[in-house]
Amino acid sequence: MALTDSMVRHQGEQFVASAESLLAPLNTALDGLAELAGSVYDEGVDVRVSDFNDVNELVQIRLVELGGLVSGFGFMIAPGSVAEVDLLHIWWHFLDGKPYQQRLNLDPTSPAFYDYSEKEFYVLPEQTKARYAAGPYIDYLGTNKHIVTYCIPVMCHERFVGVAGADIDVQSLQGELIDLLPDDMPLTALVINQRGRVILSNDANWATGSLYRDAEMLGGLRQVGPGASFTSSSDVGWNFRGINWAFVLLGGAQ
Amino acid sequence: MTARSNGSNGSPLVARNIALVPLDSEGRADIAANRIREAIRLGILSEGDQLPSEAELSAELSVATKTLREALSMLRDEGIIETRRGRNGGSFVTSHARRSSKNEVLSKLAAMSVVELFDLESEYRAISGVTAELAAQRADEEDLARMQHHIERLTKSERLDDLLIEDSRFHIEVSVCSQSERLLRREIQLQGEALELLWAFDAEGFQQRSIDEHQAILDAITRQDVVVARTLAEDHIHGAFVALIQQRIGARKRVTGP
Repeated sequence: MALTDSMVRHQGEQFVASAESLLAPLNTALDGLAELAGSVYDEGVDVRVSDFNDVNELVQIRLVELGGLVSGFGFMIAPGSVAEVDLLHIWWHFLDGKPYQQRLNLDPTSPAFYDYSEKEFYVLPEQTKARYAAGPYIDYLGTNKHIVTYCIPVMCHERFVGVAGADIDVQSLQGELIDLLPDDMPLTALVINQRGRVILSNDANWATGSLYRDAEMLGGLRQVGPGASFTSSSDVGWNFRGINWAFVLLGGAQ
Repeated sequence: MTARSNGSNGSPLVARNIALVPLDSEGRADIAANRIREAIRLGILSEGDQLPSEAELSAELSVATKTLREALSMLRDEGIIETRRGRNGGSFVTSHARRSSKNEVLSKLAAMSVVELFDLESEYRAISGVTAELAAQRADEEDLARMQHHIERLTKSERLDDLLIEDSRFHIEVSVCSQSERLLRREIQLQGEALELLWAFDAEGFQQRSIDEHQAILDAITRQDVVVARTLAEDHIHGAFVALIQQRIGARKRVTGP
């Protein structure tokens, strides 16, 4: 590989490792929430809304602990997995240091209907049974903010019963990640998600939320799996291990 | 050392006329009230819905509780919300919060000068153009599908309420694709000022035109054709305003003519 030298490669790997440890407390909180929410379904068939009181409590506690980087936290049921309702969204958002219950319009006849079960942050964990971060995107009719929504599947035994997730404030995320990036990185560095959505860059030409469209690189990264790297005809990229993000150095292959 | 003060030597003693850009006419309470009106127009809040608590609303709208109370009191006076006391009390959206009647729209138009309308068009055209340009750079396949969905819904809509909502949603989805919170906010505000006016006259003709023009804009966004997407989005707004401003000029003629 005529790659940049091994120093740049080392810098890149270090960055990925520290970015992953930044997300560690959030991963722990999501795992805990997923375990509690999954256990609600342990007892048997007739799960009711009132069975989620403990989940509701835990969501608020964790949100206050994580608040800042995390602007919303909660659990969304798989449609039809609870007796009285089709959709249920136990979700709190963090405003001025306090948790507030997030209300979504779950009425399918309303023009403001927010069908979370069709959104990328729900569909991908359901399909892949793996954690998934959607965006940055503007969450119209939800928070109306520029966020990343990071979800993990909630399973009860082999059955998918919903997702536990967090809204990550893009401004805070960008601020924390950019500090981890070495100042002397000689190439344009991007943190992107699986679809090429740019989360962070050290280059002002790459806005947060813009799209890296190199099909060769995006396809290659999907093939090689977590933690592995891929070199396209021009760029080089590494997949994160715990989250569907990759670190890409433009021109790193030349 | 006298009589030197009257020149361009920059003496601080010389009074000058400084052209200050005026503040927007809206106060903070007006802005907060408008945000709530927008939420009702977009269907986020509908009849009978309870508004969030004062603490939550003021945090969300970034205004002091005092300002929020002012805003709520304005909305109460307009009959858009009502406040109930007691254990299950709070502010609720009333049935009067619906869209304006044709007469209300016409008097809103009559209250605006032609110059004001031209200015509204200038701003709307600028926002629409750059929004479409960014969308052409940043939309992914799911984004394209959402925009297409709202074109199809516009095609199928018959009631004026639905037409307005689907027109609004298409443009909102374009703003969402721009990945800019500010552009989305501006788009929503501009819709609040302009949308009812634009649909007030030839709704059927405007529906067909909007379907065709939305599709052309979306096609350009799909091709990632930044320049064409921008131009078409600007033309879309410009064409709609030319028709509206012509109506406004015509109305004046009818009032003052023979």
